[in-house]
Amino acid sequence: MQEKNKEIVITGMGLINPMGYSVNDYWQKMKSNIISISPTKTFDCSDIPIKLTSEITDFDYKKIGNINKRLINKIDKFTHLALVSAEQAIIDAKLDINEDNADRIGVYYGNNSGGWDICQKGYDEYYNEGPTFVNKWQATAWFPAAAQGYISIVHGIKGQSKSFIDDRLSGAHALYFAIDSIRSGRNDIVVVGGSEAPITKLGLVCYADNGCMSFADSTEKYLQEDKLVLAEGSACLILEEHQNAVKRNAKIYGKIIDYDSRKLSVNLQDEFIDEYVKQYNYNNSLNFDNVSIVIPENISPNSIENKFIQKIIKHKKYDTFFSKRNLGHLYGGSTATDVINAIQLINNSSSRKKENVFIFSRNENNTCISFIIGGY
Amino acid sequence: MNRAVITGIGLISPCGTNLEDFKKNLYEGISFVDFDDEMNRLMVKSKVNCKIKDFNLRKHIEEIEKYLSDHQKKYINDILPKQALFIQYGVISALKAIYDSNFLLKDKLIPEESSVIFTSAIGGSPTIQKIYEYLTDMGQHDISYKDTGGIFYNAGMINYISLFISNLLELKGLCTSMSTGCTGGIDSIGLALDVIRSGKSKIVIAGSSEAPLCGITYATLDAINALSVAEGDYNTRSRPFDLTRKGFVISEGSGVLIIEEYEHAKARGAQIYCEVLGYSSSNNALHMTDLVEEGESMSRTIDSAIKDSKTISAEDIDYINAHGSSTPQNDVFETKAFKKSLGDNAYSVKISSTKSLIGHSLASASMFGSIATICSITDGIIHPTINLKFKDPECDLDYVPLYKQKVNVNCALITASGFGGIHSALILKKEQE
Repeated sequence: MQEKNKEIVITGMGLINPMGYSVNDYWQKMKSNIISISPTKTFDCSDIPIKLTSEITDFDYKKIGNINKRLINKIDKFTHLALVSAEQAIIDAKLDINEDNADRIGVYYGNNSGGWDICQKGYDEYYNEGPTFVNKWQATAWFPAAAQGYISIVHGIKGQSKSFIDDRLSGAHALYFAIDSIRSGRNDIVVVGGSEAPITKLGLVCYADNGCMSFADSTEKYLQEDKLVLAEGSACLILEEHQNAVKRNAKIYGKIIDYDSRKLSVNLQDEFIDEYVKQYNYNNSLNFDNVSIVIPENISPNSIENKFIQKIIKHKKYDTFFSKRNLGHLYGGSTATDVINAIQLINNSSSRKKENVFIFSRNENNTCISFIIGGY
Repeated sequence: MNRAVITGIGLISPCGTNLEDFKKNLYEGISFVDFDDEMNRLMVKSKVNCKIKDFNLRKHIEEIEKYLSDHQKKYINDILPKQALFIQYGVISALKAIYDSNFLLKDKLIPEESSVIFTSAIGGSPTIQKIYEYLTDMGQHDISYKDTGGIFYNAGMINYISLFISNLLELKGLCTSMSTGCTGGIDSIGLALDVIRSGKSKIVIAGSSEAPLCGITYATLDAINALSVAEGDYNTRSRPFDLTRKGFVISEGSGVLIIEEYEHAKARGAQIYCEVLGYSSSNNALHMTDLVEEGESMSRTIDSAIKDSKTISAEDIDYINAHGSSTPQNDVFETKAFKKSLGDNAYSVKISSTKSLIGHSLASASMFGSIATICSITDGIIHPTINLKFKDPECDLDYVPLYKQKVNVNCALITASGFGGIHSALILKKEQE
């Protein structure tokens, strides 16, 4: 049974993405309205419809994060990024993981598609050298749960852990069920986040197939559409029950006020908005009274999604922070990044401390996951 | 706390695509492991797998579509035949389970109260490999873009089965997917249990699907010496707990359970197979594939599942459906874990491995193990661990060797371990008012 009165707070943050290798670095660039989206640089994708991506272009495997060099050779980039963000968050939270608490700490990560880099390498080996020459790390490096596994090994985390794979909602479901795992008593603390590194040739061909990606060849054209640009990166939060955080004297950045996950009928279209609002509101306890900032899924103020949000937040007194406009869409890493955005927005303005941020995530099939984040 | 019971079962497995055939073949101890031409041609070390032979999608759709609306029939006929095999298996199994639970015939799923949770370890690997061949002319040149008509993305993204079922039946509850490797089957049931307990849904369609049989899968697992290189007749090469075991036999298939809140099931007069009593999952935090010999990490998970059940103790367990993968390390590891958790009772409890008959279908393997366990609870019969002929002194428990046994199974444990150092355990019990 869930203890709904268990207050869940955020006590650590970490991230790495094209806008920065730390939360501060990233936020400074976001505040300056820097855009990390550009024509793909790291390989020739002239024949692939996806022209723009948001890449980490100067990533030095050996220098980023305290990752053992032998381990670097065994993992895909998405796991490396996950390890970096998790390490930052654990250090930020001053979380001491030891024999007494390791089985009460879990890892909940979102990843949409596993290890593209190593997947492509494995196919190259298979076809160019032969099936018996596929590298021995393939099996443990490319599957989506690899990040969860390696984080648990590197940090000695033994509690209930899960990897969610759900398109743009991979990280959103990881956060949703991480909160549930604390409320139900399965975990006391969760290292929750997501990671993606799909920007390879094979990855871009796959994503070009999903109908959501921008095929614009310039940032200017992209900013006029309501399509997505693929980003790579990872973000991580330390989530724990409030009393636990107070007991260990943790710094508390913010709290989870409320959350919801549901599926609406497919195809969000203008003529059905009222029906979707009715479906969204059915048995939904989200209270928008103190919401002053919205972080939506999309990047366009004119999108149908924003019309939908205007109908569910009746007071209409809110600003919209289009996080994905500058950074692109991190898929599995998106929600944790948006929670970090929310905390920065709340805590960097003294007037906002009592106000809440509404994060709305949705995939093309109209599964919607919402979080309300508050200051502390 | 809300109780969760199982009210429907659907499956597509190497030993049957309906429950009657599935359990009949398990009870009779028939092996479905066989020599595979492709594995031999590729010159990987292992030569055997466990295939679902003659899967006829059209036939399965015809069996079920008479219970669907015209819109649903069109949806399934237009879209499903084009999708990767693991999606086809998963959707068909889900519809069979929903039919079995009487939600297509008599009762109606209430959209807002119904959720879907699916798991898979590696999704549409054969489709992705075929697409790679298409993009590179069989690996002759670098990847060059070609339109793959929406199939590539769906095959690569494990969440498509959940979405398909949710869209087909217009469900409005939770809709999610996990990828937790070889514990996926148990994990989908465990998450469903938590969803029911919390009151967020009254019904969860919980399933697991895998169709990994292709060259890249064989090559990848062969590279880490995971696949069976045991000698002897091909159909004996999955031999859990046997002294001569040498790896697992890769398999495929899908299993789905309808997990329902107890009072809701009683109110509509549903058949109740058994109750989902407890679940736990944890990490060993040591290694992605190696298992610590003393079994501590699995034992901890079992203890935690028993504690989660709140009503049973280790002495109450009558039967264990083991991970029993037929690898030298797992079977010793699990045996030690069972002894650690059950104490003296470990020597009187019955243990068997479904993988001995139908190989290891990754995430869906523990779903098949769970379904076999449900059958044991309802029928009072435990299927054998076949090919267990040479005793391993380190595996000295009662693994129900070679022949089925009639045993009253009131309470059972299902265990699984997976890459990433993950262990999961599930407790099922005969329904009691």
